[in-house]
Amino acid sequence: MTGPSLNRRDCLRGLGCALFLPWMESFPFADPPKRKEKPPVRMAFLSIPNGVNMDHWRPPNASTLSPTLQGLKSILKDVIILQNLRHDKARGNGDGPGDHARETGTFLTGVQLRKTAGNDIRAGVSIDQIAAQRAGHLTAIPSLELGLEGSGQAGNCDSGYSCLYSSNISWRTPTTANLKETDPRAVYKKLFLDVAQSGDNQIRAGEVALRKSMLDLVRDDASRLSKQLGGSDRQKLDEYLESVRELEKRIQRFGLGFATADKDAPKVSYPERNDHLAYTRIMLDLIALGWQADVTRITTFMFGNGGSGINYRHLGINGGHHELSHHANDAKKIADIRTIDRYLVDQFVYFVEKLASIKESDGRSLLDYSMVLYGSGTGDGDRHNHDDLPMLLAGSGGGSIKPGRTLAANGNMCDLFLAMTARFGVQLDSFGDSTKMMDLPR
Amino acid sequence: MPVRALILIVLCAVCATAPGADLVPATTDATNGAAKDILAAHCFSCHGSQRTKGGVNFETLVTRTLNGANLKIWRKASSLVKQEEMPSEETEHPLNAADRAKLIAWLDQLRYDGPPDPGRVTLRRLNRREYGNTIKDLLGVEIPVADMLPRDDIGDGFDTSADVLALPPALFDKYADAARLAVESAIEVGQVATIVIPDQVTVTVMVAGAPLKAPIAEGVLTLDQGGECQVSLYAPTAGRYRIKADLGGIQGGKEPVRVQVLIDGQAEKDQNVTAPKPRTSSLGSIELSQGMHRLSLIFINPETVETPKGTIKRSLLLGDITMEGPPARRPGTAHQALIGDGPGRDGDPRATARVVLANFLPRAWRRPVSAEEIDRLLAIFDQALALGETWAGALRHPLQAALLSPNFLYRVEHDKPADGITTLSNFEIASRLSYFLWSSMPDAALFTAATAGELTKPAGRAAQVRRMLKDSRSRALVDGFASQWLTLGNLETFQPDPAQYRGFDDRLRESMLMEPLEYFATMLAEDRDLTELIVSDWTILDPRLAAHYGLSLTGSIRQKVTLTGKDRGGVLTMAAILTVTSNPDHTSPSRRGKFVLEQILNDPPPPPPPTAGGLPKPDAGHPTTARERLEQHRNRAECVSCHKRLDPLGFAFEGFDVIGRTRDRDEGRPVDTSGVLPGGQKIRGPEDLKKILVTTHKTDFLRCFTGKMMTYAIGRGVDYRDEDRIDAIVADLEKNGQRMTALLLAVVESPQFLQRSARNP
Repeated sequence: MTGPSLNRRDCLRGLGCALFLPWMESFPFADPPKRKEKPPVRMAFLSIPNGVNMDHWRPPNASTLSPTLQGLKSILKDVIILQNLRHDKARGNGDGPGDHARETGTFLTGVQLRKTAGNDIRAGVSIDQIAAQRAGHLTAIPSLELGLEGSGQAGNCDSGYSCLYSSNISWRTPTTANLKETDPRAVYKKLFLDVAQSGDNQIRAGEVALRKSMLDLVRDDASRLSKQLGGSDRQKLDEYLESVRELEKRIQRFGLGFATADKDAPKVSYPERNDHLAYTRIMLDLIALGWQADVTRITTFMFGNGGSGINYRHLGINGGHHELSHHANDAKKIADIRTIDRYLVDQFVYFVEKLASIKESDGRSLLDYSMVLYGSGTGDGDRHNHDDLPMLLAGSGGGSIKPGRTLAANGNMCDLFLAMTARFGVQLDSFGDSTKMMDLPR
Repeated sequence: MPVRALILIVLCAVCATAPGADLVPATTDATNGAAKDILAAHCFSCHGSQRTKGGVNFETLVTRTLNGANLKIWRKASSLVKQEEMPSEETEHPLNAADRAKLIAWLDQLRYDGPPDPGRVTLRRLNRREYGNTIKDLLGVEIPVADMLPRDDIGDGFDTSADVLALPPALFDKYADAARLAVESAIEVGQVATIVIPDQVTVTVMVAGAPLKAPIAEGVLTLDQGGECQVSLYAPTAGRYRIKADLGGIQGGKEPVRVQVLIDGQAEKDQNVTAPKPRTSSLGSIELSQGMHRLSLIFINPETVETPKGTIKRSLLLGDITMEGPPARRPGTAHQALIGDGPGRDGDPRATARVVLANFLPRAWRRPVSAEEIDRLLAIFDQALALGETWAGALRHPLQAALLSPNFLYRVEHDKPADGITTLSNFEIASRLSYFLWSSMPDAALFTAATAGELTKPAGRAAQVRRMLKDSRSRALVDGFASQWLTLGNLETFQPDPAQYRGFDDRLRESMLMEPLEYFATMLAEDRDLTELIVSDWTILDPRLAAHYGLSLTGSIRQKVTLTGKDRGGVLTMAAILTVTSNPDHTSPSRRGKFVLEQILNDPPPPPPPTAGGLPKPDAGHPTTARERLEQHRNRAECVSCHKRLDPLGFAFEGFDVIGRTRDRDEGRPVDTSGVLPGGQKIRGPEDLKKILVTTHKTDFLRCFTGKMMTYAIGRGVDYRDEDRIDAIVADLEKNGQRMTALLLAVVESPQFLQRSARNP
């Protein structure tokens, strides 16, 4: 078994308190997982909707932090402020408006989305999924997709683009977005309960065999259908088969594939869903936990859907995020946007600090073995531009990056993705619209 | 080519249209010629034979037939010209407004003239609503799908969009969990369910109407200022459940902490809590029906008590809540209906199981199945039985596999001539009908009709449609179609500015939501004239909403009401719609106008340029109405052409505030509901606008509504291939007073519904 070397039972025991995270100081693991080899590199892509107000984001000079980035003070040596990055394929390029659908749909795919409200969806495979295809088999969960907002609820999401584009940044195939989980309970269940094995709940070998038979049967059904059906139908069945395969892999690894209520599992409490701060933090905590237990190494997280209208009332703001981003130079609205921009950066800082507080087996921090990219596919929310993107990169990727600076990156986002995946251990010649790896300081 | 009277007043106004241009120029040869001259002068330099940017050559394209591929290019061109994206900024030949309008008018009347094409719907997954309904009809149990499955993504305005309904692994896992719960709820094997609440459900703590923050520590919730803890309980089957809670109290003085226990709002008991630390105590043994229930624990007597030891806040400490039950008992009706009494002492377990599967599988997969398909599932039963499961327990596994199979999760339709147009089979049509009208599987009568070959005949289909509409399951058209058409999902999350709209609460939200849904349900039940969606003299009110509207209502229940005033009637002036088209702190005539264009006339305006911004905040020193601020704001050149089209429609509704109450003042100043439509016609108030919508624009409205109904029914966005059929349906409808049932029948009779094309266009 190539799974993690951590004792899962111990891990679960600790979680009893871990899930009170918003109110607790540190993680419950007394001893870091023992490994002979060097700890693996982890990678997260955190996306924020609606760009930012660049006037308040852009550092005035290399040694001064802008108002929005004040929160970076405490992690300054661990972060790179990337400047002048662009996403050429997020521009209209003849497709007209729809920048907020493209800010998410293009964010990790680097392709021009097919403009459609529903029929014939087409994006591209996103960079996290390329990495998961190559390296996801090393962990129980190849990749984890999270977010704070569920799918769009009504109508077209943006100027003739389906809501699918604005609700997702992680794409398994050009036609299938990954479902992003927005419920911390479900994330917990996926990360930990699925893999619980003990006492009464020990799954008997026979039951595992039964589950396997069931999946064999439905896979066979799909293959038979595939022979009878045509082009786009077959694509749907391929997607189905992929999903069956993923579940099978989990059963192989853990002897259990279906979520099970574990009587011995820790008691869990969650913050109010409408307590935005606590909700955000428990989701970020769960990513850190998943990484710490090495259940997964690749994660995407959406603070909001493209063009999100979240109302940050707890920050004293009245009005949706998107509406405010088009401030028309109204001073109050600009101030509100700056407050939101800064609040979101502060959550990134929270996550980075969390990673920094967790020790790896070699005594270094989890952050040292991470790359956390934070930013938006839109530059300035008021302008809908896709150059000069607000972008931060934290962590030193297992010693392959030397953070602690402002970097005039002057390139395409996909150049950066090539540089990140290489450090993650996945070498690519090209991705999206790039064939050129960006130089990151080391 | 038919002259398309698309567009009289509102629609003719592509954004750049000069005021006064009432009609689109008729497409005579002369106007055709003029449009082609414009095309040549402004477009050929980049998209002609000299240069063909983006591979588009209009010089040759004008000479070609209007088949699907060519028409697609024209449609894209039209959209880009409307949005003023083309001719591009770099052009040396900018287009003036009048020429732009001519060009657009010409582009928009180009119609498909290729061979008939019913379109192709990709293999479609059951969406969340359909899955829940199907499980209920198939297994006889309800599972809490809303808690188990995520909201589906939306394509073309609806959750039925085949290409958007994907099945990534994370979702497959959830469907696997749902299948397991469904089967375990249906088939009882005698054990007692124990449910630990905090693991499974949301705990909401309300103090003085506001959610309580934070004081959960070490698994214990401390209430020290009163408040109500609400827990959703899910009873997998009907029966008696024992509910226990870990309760403790910091007493302070002699009076014990007192808790009132309510189930679904009904008081069950009062309980004194004397243990200082949380200790498990029984809240009683309560009979619950299958499904979701609400348990409330209300801390009745919070108080700050002075004691010799100091000041103590009397507090309730709340730990885990558990629910156990129901006790083993005779199997329920779902169990009986699915698997019967079992083989008994002398029967053959395997043969009996095979009979069960042979009955179940055709219903689950919605088609006849082969003996081999049954035997494959029976092998799983054998395997489970060999592992020591009971007979009933072993049957759970093949049933679960059947529910995970693509034959269940997807709506499978076959192409018969591998290349060309296929007429769907009887069973495929049965599923199309049942998922369109019921969002669920076919019932026994539909299966019987399919077996008898009746569904490939118009009379057979019509009989089924009429029967199905009378069935309560047709409510799915209300919750599925109407709710999404009217974008009511947005009402769920709408929060008006609490400072201005203190009266708004969840009860009002529910009443608001009730009105358009019940109205639509009544339209369906009474087979009414579709124009009553716009203009009518009746609606459905409950006391809360009547009070909201300033109307009196006799009695305390929801009822159909005849309206005497002129301002309500029809969906556009229902509080729900007025609210979802508002901003939290001010009305938005532009958004209300956009709603009319998108949802009533199917003529969506282009989005605003990014830097347009919203309305400025009102200035306390100089009060201005939303309308006045909008009028200042929109005077910018890049804004005015679209706002001229949007705003007059929205101004008509300025007599309604953010949450849909009538008003005659906004920010203390009188409201003005008058507007001038782009065609020059003056209107005042909603009555004028609605009248225009059901007279001059009746055809446009019916075309829009038919298109949306068809999109919902077939699971793909309608396009150029469907326009002629939609026009024909509308023409027929208009001849017969445009009744709801006639529309549904016409959609069912369309090739789009009954056939599929083997190839994607």
